[in-house]
Amino acid sequence: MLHDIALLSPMIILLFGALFTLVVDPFLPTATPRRFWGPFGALISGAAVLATAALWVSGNHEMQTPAFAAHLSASRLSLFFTALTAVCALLTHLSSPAFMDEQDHGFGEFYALLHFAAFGMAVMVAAESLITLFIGLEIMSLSVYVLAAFKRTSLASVEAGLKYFIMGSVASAMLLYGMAFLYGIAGGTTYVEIQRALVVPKPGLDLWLGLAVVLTMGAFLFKVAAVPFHMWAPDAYEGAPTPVAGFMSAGVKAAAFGALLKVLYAALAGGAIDSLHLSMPKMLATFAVVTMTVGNIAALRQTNAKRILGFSAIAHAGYLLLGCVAWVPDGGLGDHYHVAGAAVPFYLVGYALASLAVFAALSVVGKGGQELTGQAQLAGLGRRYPLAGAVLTLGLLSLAGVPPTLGFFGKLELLHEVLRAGDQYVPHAVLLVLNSVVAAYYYLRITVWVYMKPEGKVEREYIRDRSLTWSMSLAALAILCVGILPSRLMRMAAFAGGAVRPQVARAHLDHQLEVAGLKPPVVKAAATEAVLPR
Amino acid sequence: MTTEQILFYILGGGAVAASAAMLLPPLGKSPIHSAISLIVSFFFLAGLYALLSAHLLGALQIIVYAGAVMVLFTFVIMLLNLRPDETQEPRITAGKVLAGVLAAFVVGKVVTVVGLASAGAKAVDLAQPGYENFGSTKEVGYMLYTSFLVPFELISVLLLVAAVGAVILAKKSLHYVDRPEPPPSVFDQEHAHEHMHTQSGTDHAGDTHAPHDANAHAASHH
Repeated sequence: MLHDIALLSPMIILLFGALFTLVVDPFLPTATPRRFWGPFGALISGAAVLATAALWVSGNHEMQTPAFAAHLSASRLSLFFTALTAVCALLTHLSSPAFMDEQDHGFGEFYALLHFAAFGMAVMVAAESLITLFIGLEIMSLSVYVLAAFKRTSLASVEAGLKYFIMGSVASAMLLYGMAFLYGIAGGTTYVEIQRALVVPKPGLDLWLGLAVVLTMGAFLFKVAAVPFHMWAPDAYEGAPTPVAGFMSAGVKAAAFGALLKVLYAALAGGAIDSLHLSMPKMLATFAVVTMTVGNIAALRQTNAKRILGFSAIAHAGYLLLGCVAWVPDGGLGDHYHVAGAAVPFYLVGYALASLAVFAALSVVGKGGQELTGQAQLAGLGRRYPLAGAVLTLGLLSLAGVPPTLGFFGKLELLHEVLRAGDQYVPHAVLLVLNSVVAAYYYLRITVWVYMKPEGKVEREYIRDRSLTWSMSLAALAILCVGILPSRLMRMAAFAGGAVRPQVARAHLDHQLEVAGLKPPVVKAAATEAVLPR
Repeated sequence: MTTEQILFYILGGGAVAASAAMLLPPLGKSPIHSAISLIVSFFFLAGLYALLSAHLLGALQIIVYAGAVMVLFTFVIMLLNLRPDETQEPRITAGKVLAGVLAAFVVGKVVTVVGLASAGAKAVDLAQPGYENFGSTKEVGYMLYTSFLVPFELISVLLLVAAVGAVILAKKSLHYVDRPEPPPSVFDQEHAHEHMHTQSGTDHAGDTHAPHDANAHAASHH
């Protein structure tokens, strides 16, 4: 019991941060500025990262109590993504206070919701059952909807929150519908039970499974903003307060892909799914390519940096989706760090850090309630606020995949993995490269605004704040340092990826189930047979 | 056809019909009628649960959803105090027709798949051992506090987030008392209308837009 609670310590720390903020905030004198919650939140998130690191090093990753083991895991994959989402929360906590104060909405609840969102993400990526996954997803989504609409006096912010909320609710409904079919097939909601039910193909299972997979994957496409469910992203990113937009593009995407990987390769990994394998990877790969192309082409004509980044987030969802599809298991944990499965976690780290750096740097123009981030607002930033200009440029270069940034190695690794997955993915890989070239145009366009456009007559004021500087510097340093020395992170990503691959995962989970003495209840097993036609 | 099947078709058909009435005119045009259709649909669903031997779930469906949640819904609708022009049907456009056709296609596909896949499915015999307490309060409670304890506790966090979020979005002003009066929230309908009327001096019956932050528009002229 205590052992399991120790394994949950990152989540408990994040939840403590949220509750502490909520409880203490009303008792503070009204005149006290609330911006100290930002650094406090960063400390809490930092503690969560440290706890995750300690668990990673200690190496004992299995829950012992059945009640915990069935719903949450502390596998390397979960830990990797928990740490990543906590880092996203940390940087957002640092970049928010000054911006939210300038926008006149720096309230304690904002920071509490950031903690809640990070907690939901941690639950999502640690989930071992559909029901826990769904609750984690909802905790995260509800927090992020409110964060996006947090500037209630701004129509753009409210529109962002409302659009995100409605689209997200549809996605949740789809996910639940798909999960209901999966439950009907497996007679249980845990990934282990689903995997066991899908080990052997049964006649008539295909149709149910196809329906379940289509609905579940559709919901994930919604959450990661992939075509054809991408239309909410640009509006939501444009309207949301800038640091929140950064958190949405980095944290939400990381958590959604972490959960997607587990669902794809831990739950839907039985032999029965192989009959669908003829069509499912092909379908998802097609969506991936269309997603990156649509995102990049649409970004070309935008005039607002936040909107450009919204479309860029769609394009990156396409790259990552291709990485998920092309993640063909090769069995056994390779000792070389270039094993399959490293690319998606690794790429996500680079993408998340770059996004957070870019949005943190963009938030400096939010002085006095300013919401727009177009050419007029950004012109002259490079000269008058060199740090912000430099961090913005570095982040954009990393998103574009220019060496020696982390984004370059992420793309390289992703491409490598896609090509290794088989010859059928060669056209996709070619399109990925072409898309990266197209993307470079609009990323560099923002850089041109920052450095080369006339500044206008008005001397523009920028937000200059110590914690914002910390946020920008930390993100930029991480992009550069890890970009120059990527091998350690790549090895960690390979460990994370290795934790989910089916053969390994199945053996591991079955063993875990035996150790825990956990068997599917009699009622459920019998119910399964009844649902399936014979 | 057994009694169970007949009951199933009555309850299932009723649930579908009530759900359709929730969205389609004439009932679907008014939010309060939609809410009542939803209650009716919940009652049919409760019957379906009872038919599946999930008696507790059926009772909860009526007490919690049809009772508490729906009363809240109706209260909210009444408090919103929608004016007739806000509940008017939007115009039918080509895009909406296309969306409708696509939606019909997806629904048709799902129905076909479910129909094909469920051919030959057999009922569970609840008389066999292991099923004595199926769906009973004791059994559900046992599950909730043993194998589903973690999700059960996580739900409490979810509810807390929902409550905090709703308060933040719905509260008149988040500012503390000694701060100057903030501009009106766009959620604050009543306030917004007053604001508009005092500004223009005339009553725009058809104009329902709340005033919004001037920043977004002023800044676009830079």
